Amino acid sequence: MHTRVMRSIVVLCACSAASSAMAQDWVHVEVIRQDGGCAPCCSGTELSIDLDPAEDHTFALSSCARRVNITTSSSTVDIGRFTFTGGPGAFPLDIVLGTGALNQSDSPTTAVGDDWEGFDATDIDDARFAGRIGGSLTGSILVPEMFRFDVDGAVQAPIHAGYSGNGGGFVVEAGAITSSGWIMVDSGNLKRVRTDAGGIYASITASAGSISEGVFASTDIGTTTSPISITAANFIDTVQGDNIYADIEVASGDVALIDASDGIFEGSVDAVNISRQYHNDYGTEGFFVYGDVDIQLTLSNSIRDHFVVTGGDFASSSQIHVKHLADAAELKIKKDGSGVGGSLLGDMYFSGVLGAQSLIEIDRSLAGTLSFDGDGTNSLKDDISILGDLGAGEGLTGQVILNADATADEAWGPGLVKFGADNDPSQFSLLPVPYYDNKSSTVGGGAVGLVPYYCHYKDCAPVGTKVNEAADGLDGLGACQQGFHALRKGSMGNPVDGPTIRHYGPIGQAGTGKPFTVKEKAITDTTCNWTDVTSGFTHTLHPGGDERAIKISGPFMPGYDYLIEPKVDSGGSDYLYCAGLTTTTVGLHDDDFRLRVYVLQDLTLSGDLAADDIDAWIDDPVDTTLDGIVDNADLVDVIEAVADSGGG
Amino acid sequence: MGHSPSSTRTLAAAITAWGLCFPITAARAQDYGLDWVTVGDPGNPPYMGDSPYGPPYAYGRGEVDYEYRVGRTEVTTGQWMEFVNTFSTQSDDLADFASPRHWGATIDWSYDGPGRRYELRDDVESPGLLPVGGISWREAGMFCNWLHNGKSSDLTALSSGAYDTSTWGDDGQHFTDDPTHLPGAKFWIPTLDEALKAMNYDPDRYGAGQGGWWLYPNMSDDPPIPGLPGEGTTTAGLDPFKVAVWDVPLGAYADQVSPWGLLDTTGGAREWTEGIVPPGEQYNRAIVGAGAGDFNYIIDDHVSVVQGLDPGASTTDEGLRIASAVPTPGTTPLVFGVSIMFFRRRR
Repeated sequence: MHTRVMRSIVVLCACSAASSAMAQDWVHVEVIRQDGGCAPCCSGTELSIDLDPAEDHTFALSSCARRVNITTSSSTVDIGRFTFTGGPGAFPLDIVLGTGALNQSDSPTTAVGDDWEGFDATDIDDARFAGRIGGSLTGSILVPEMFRFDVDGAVQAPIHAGYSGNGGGFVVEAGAITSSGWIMVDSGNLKRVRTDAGGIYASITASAGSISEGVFASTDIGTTTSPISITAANFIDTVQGDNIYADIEVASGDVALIDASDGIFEGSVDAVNISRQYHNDYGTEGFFVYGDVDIQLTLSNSIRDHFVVTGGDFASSSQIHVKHLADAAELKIKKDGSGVGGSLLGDMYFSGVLGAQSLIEIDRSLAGTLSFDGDGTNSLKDDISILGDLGAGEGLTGQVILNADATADEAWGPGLVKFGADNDPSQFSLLPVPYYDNKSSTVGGGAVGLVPYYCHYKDCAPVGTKVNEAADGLDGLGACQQGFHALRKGSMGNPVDGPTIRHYGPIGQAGTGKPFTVKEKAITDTTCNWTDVTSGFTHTLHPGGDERAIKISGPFMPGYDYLIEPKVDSGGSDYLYCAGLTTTTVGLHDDDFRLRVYVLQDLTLSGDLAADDIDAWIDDPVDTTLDGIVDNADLVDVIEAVADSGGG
Repeated sequence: MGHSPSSTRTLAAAITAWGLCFPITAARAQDYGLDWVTVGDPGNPPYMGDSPYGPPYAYGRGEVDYEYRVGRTEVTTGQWMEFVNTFSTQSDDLADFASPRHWGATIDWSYDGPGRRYELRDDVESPGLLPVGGISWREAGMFCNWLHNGKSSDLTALSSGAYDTSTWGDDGQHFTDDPTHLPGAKFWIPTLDEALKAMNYDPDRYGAGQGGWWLYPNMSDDPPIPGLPGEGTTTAGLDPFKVAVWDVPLGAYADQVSPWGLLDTTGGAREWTEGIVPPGEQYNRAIVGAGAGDFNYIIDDHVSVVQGLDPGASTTDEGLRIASAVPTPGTTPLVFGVSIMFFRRRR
């Protein structure tokens, strides 16, 4: 009996002990009154209440309520959702996680509790909040004014403040920010958002101010399927993460530093400059990505310092629309140590210039379009370097366009387009500008064109013998001048293949008619009497997909000179124009193409067949029968041709 | 023993005649001890420089073809507190009247009501000289009306004189307020041209008589240097997390002056004007200058930069500098003569 009673007592005590342990978990809320020294606000405690863990509560506060302190019995206690109504109008209500006064510094406080359902203080005229929780934020925080808030776990719900503390002190530091945890301040600056364990997967907004220090993620910012928005009115200092999937926008200011420190960038950037020059100009600034870049970048002014892609490509879907690459700035698409990346596959449009002492350097290939409007005088004030292996098909495979806004008399500029590293003895440049004589096949297949595009004689088929129409110092080959740009040879009476005329930039055709004329004159005719034979000729624009070319086809007969004149008057109905421009349509440079078609047997290139052609063969036998063999059959061929022409 | 009615009328007539011979300008009578600077050089050229930071709202502006006065400093806490207390103490409904976000006043807890009364803070030096930040354009307009109407405590003193408050409203997109102050206004919010000229135009910029524009309001083409007095030249740009930027008195940077002698043209509050931005669209009233703690000060203090905000709104740092006409010389206070007549009539 005694043992049974004792056993019962032990059980009863154990149950009591257990009950006591459960009741000790609490959330304590204390509301302190304003110390006005006298009624109605005479200091003291307005409210002191213990709530159960995770218990929601609404607090109707008096006009003398000055501060709310929220504490918990332990770090494992969850805090419910609080709603604050009423409250003071003459001074701010401070809402504090922890004891004591509101923390208005940029230092963390001691963590309170575990997870928190957040609070709503929007009914309070001016409520200020700061603090730190040991767990995650699972419900929203809606508060007029925000100072520093630390979340040791994850931000899983929105944080929305009307003002940043003291105008500039809104800070959120968390383990991670989930896709539900967007952060916004309506007025003032958002100083910093940082995670130290995970990524940032929800939007960050300073609606009327700046993100003055930046957004820093321990891992990624956004995802490829769910990029985030990072938005400010005036300025964003830094956006930094491993991979960045984001749309970054500054309505009327700059972004100083975008750093995808261990990966790619996908998204957009819309700002005035990439620069910190107007905000305490110190520290690294620029755009740095260590992987592929797939970006829509729009700057109303300049890339001031750096735009560097390492170990990745500037993707073919990427576009940059920027005014300048500023003086002393650099734009580099680099391979990494393993040889990955290094190509500009997308398009870059500069409405200004490549600045002095600046540099564009492409490690592998410039395959997209690089376009400069220029400043009315020049486009390139410094160099573009392409370092790809030309023997492996790398190099300039795309197009560079200078003076893309077709300003009259604008020059290429002092900058060069170089191939190979500066310390490489095989380095060469496109020279002379703008009629460089480097064939496109020797630089990768692409071209650099100064608007209006000139005919790239050296790139035509047949190859031009001149660099430009006026290479002899004369103002072009006039109609009454003897000469030619290229020649072909054919058998008497048999037409030869027409020329493919290439230019330094992409061309287009307006209208559906013939954007050219063809005139014919016997080689031996030294008069100006050209005969218009255009009606017998046709053309193919972009033969074989070559956007810089037009092929003229028709009866190009041996023994004749042909004057092919492009129609370039943009006021006309059919004309050839410079394609790929940014602002206007302008005709090609008015470069004629003079093709001379010699008879194969006209070995003296006299334009006529005569006995000296036979002598010329004897002196220097050539295959005139085009059978691949130089033999007496060729001599017979020459003799018969001379005889047939009556020149014997 | 009183005077006879006839002698009273004679005296009144004499005083009236005296007043007619010596006409009065209202401004002289109602200066309230404000410290004015006169902005001259009428017909100056406008600002035609670059607008590197945004829309060219200041381009072609700043030309003023008359002399005028502006306060040497912004409206101080002391001046604003007098205004607020005049009305906030009249009823509980007016307890929050025109209370700014930043200033050197605090609630007077010894006051039993009605409404609320403010007193100068005792935790800072020179609380009465601290800047006032976070007032709306319309609150600034009512302040001008109140000054115009002799600082009367009657609520009607807030409704007209400088600005007709009956026009204040919005049609859903635009504000409907009269765009300019009323004719005959004794005090007003500076026009955009008046503000730009007072801050940045220097009649001797390039030598005696060779006027021109400074890019920044302290007679410099370089931005001001954030720092406390003795360390820098403005509270703009200071980190409000680290420095009590609103507790620096107006006038503390005594050597930082505009070409006309204005103080506090950078830091303190950013200043309302009568300007409208975007031009031609009554969306916002124009604001010039960078306020205390303004992170964007290099841009906001530039002569070309004009910001905007709804006239009924305020954030944290909007403030006011008063403009007024230049008094003409040879005036006599009519008030004295009127008081004598009134006194006599009452008897």
